[in-house]
Amino acid sequence: MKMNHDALLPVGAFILALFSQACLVSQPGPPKEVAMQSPPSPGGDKKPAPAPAHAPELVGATSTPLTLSSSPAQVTISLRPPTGPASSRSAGLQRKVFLTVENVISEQDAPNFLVYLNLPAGEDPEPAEFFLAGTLTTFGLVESSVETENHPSNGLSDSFDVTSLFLKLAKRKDWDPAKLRVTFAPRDWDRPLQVKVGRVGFFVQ
Amino acid sequence: MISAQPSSPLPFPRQTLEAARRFFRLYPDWWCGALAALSWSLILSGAWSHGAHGAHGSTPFSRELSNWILMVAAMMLPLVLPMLRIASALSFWSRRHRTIALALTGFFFPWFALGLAAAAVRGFPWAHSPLAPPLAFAAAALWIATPFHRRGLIRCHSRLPLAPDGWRADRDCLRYGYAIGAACCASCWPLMLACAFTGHQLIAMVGGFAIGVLERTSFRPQRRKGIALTLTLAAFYLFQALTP
Repeated sequence: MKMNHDALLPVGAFILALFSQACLVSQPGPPKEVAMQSPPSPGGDKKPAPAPAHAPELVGATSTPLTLSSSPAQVTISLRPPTGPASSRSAGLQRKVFLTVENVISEQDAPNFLVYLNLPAGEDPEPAEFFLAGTLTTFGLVESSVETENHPSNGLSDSFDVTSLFLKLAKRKDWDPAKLRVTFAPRDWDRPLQVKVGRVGFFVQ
Repeated sequence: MISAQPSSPLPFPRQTLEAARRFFRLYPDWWCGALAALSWSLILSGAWSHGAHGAHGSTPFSRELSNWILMVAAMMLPLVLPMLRIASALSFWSRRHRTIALALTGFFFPWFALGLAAAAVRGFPWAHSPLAPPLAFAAAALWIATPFHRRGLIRCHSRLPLAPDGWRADRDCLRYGYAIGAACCASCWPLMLACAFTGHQLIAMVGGFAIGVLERTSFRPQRRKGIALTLTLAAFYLFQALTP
């Protein structure tokens, strides 16, 4: 059998059309969770500065998974200065900092977790509003941890805009720009608890 | 009141350079897209010069394997670009290309193993029968109807935590690529085998790629459309087999 050469032209055009569609379907930039921004904090600036037009850049993350139980869990993350687009600051643009909690999975129900940055040792997590980065909600945790015909078992992922907290922490005496402690404190819970966090990371935009 | 100054447009060469810089920043996986385009161009040029002579004539094992790899690169790379982009976005800026390269290596590993099996199967005379492609496409259509295909397809969207640096990061990138590749294999192996049975004909690969794009880019399952397209390919090759 010999192929008709003229018939190849529309086929080639079809390939190119499909290829361009495949490339265009996913929008550029970071994963959805990373790009999500929390609403501005009540104590923040009244007129937020415009965000830069590039993707957030990873500046630090945990290397191994973290297990959360009924007592507060703490992890220290080494940070390094951004070397990509986030390293160059344009005038009038405020750098944003995001804390991401990725691949949170559990086989059992779990309470929400309060997430703190640089919570001092011995400090009671509950009233420590100053250090609070946000609340890690666990709605749908068990369901997202189990693979079905409609979704893989990726678990939950969340991100927090911690820009204003970062600025507040940077003014403290114990501030170390190369290391940051993240504390997860469970809300009231009287049942067994084991939640695995795949990765905790910091992104700068 | 201070009004904002309207930003003046950049001069032509700088504007183009800025646009290129933006593109390469946002799409660190651009070179994978280029590899896929190169693969398609090689396939097109091969189809142009050789037609479909490989369908019913036996080809050496090494040639069969290289054709398989070319086919996987052309058909699967465009589909896996979003996952590679996610992996690079979750890595340090300085590691983004390394992340993509390692994930790609992991991705190709299961496909290479399947390619070895496919090339070995193509060594048998029955694999060159005119009825082999339509039967293989019919089997692929049946596979699409099974929950195994759907599970494999869903696993293609798996996300694994990636360590930021060191050997753990390399290992995680390989593991992530392997997980996606194994899921892709589980989802599409009958379709790819059917394409191999046609002697890697352009029509089969374009059809298979169209099915892949349809399944990967739709939010809702496109099972019926996938089956219909695969059966169309089966009918096309059955017609070819029955016509002298």
